[in-house]
Amino acid sequence: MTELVFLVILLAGGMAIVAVANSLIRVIIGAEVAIMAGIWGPALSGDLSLLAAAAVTGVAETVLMVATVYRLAKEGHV
Amino acid sequence: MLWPLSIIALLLILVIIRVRDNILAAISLTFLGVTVAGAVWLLSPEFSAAFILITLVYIVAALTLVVVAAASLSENSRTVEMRPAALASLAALPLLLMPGVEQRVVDARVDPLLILLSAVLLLFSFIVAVRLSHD
Repeated sequence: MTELVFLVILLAGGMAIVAVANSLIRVIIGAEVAIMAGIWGPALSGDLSLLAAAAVTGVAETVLMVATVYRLAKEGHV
Repeated sequence: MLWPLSIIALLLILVIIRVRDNILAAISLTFLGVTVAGAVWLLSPEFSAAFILITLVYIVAALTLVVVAAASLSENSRTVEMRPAALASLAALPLLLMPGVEQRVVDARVDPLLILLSAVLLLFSFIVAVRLSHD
């Protein structure tokens, strides 16, 4: 039960951060919090391979989101 | 046992929502990553390798966000409206009605094929990121 409460806190909290965001950095931070829920889910399954895949995917999407927001900042959209 | 960590995570999310500085919010994200990593470690101590992995992931992520936020300090007051996304998160609430996690067999081995696939994925995303930010 506590595991699911933790999962819902991360999911709903991430979306709440996105909802009240006033800059694109905040949107990325909210997405990162929701991705932590995506890492916590495989941890509940008890399989380290799933957990490693989730963490590596988290790194990859963070790199892409940060590169995108850097490009947007360079063009003056942030 | 996970209740204190849940409360800490909730407080950190509230800090991220309330604080006005992007850099402080990114640093709070680092602490939230350490909290989640500690929760994974508390859930099954066989996953102590995952603690290091998740901690490193979020320290690097938050540091990059700090650099980008510092590079774009020209704040304007135009708000980004994403309230439908918050309403969509309410769809996660029925998850609380699911039955709890039963006693499970913990598998602490990593498939060696996964290392190759992760390396290819990371290399590809780094190439895309470099092309995106240096053109």
